[in-house]
Amino acid sequence: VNRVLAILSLAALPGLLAMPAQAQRRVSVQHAIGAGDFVRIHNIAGNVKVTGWDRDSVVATGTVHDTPNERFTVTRAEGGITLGLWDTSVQQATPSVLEVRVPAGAQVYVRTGSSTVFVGSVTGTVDINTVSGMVEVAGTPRDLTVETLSGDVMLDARARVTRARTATGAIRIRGSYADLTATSVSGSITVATPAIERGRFESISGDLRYTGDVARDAVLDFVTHAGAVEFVLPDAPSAEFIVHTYEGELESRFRAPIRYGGGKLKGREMSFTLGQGAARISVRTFKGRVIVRPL
Amino acid sequence: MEHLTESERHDAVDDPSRLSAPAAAHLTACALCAADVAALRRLLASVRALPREMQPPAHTHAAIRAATAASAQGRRMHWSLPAAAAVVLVVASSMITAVVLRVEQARTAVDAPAAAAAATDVRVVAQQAVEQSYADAVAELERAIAEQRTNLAPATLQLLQSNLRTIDAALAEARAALAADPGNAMLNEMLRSGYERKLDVLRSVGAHAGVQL
Repeated sequence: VNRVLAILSLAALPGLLAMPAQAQRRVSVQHAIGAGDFVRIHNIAGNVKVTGWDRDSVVATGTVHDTPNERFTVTRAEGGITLGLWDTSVQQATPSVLEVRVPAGAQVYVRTGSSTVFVGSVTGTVDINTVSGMVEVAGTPRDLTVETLSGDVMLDARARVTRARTATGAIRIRGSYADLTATSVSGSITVATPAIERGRFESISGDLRYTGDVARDAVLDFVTHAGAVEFVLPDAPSAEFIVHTYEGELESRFRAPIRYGGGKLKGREMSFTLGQGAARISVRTFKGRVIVRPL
Repeated sequence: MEHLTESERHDAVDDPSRLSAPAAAHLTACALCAADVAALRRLLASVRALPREMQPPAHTHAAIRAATAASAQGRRMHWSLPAAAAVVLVVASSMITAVVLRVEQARTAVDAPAAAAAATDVRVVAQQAVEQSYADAVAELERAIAEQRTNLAPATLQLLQSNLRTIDAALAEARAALAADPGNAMLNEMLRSGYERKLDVLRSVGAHAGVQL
C-alpha cells in the first residue's frame, strides 16, 4: 500500500508543480508609441514600477497572475496604450509585479488596488489612483495627481501642478512645487521642503506638519478641522503667520509678539511676523492646536 | 479611460469646446465625472441665482429710516447756514461741523448693526446654496456607488464608511457652530473643506467600484 501511495504521489507531483505555473506567467511586451502618448497601467495587487526613458517605446516586463475572469492584456488605441490586469470581481488578488519603461514625456496613468506604485523620470502628466497601495513619485512630472484611500504617498518630485489626496494614508512631501494641494481625512501630511510657491494642505482630523525653511514669497494655507498643525522652522524664518481657530489654541515658541485681532473671520484670530515676513502662512482650524517652534 | 482632470472638469463647465475629443467622450460615459461637472454647474447656477441686490431684512428698515431722518436733519442744518457776518459764519460753521460730525457718528452707529445683519443674511443664503450644491453631488455619488457596491471589497466599504463617519462628525460640528454664529466665514470654510473631503473619498471609491470605466 505504501508503494502504491508513493507512486501516486510521484504521479501527482508534476500536476502540483504545474498549478502555480498556470496561475503565474512571465510577460515581456514592447510597443512603439509617440513621445507624448498615454500609457495606462492597471494592476490589482503587487508592485508597479514605471520609469521614463528617452525612447519612443513602451517595454513592460514582469510576473503576472491572471484571475479566473481576466488576463494580463495590452491594448493599443489612438494616442496610446493600455496594459495590465484589472478585475473588480476578485476580492483577494495574487500579487503581480510589473516594471514598465515609458517615453519620458508620456502621460502616465496608473490604477491599482493594493499594488504599490513607483513612478520616476517621467516628464509628462502622471496620474496615480490606488485603494491601499503605497505610492512614491520622483522626477519632474509636468502635472502630478496621486489619489489613494489608505495608501501612503511619498512625493519627492519637481512639478508644476500637484494634487495628492488620501483618506487615511500619510502624505510626505519633499521636492519642489509651483502649485501643490495635499488633502487627507485622517492621514497626516508632512511637508519637508522649502520649495513650494503655493501650497494648500487640508485634513479633517489628520495632523499637518511643516518642517524646514519657507520659500520667500511662498503662500501656504493649512486648513484642518481637528488635526494639530505644527511648524518646525529654522532660527530665522521670514514669514507672516495668520492663524484663525474656532476652538483651538496657538502656541508659538518664537519671540515675535502675537497680535490678537478681530478680522473678518470670527473665532480667535492671531497673527505674528517672523523676520521680514516675506512668506504668507495662513492656518485655519476648528479645534486643532497650532504649534510654531524652532528646529 | 481615466477621470477628467480638475482643469478639464472646469473646462467642461466654462467652455466645453476646449475639451479634447477623448475627454468629451469620457464625460458622456462616466457617471462620476458627469456628476462632478453637474455639481460645478449647479454651484455656478446657485451663485448666479443669488440676487445682485438684496432687500434688507425688515428689522433694519426702522433703523435705516431713523438714520436717514437724522442725516437729513443734519443736511438741512448745513444748507440753512446763515450767510451773514463772517464772525457769525465762523462760529456757526464750527457749531454745524460739530453737529454734522455727531450726526454722522450717530448714523454710522445706527447703520452698522443693520449693515452687518444684511451682510450676514447674504452669507447665510450663499452658504445654504453652496451646501445644497455639495449635498446634491454627494447624493449623486452615493447613489452611483450603491449601484456598484458589489464591485468593492468589504475592506474598502468599511474604509469608506469609517471615513464618512469622521467627515460627517466634523460637518455636524461646523454646522452646529454655524447655527449659533451664522455667516461666520471661518466656519463656512470648515464646511467647504469637509464637503470637499467627502467628495474626494466618494470619487475615489466610486472609481474603484467601476462606476465609469
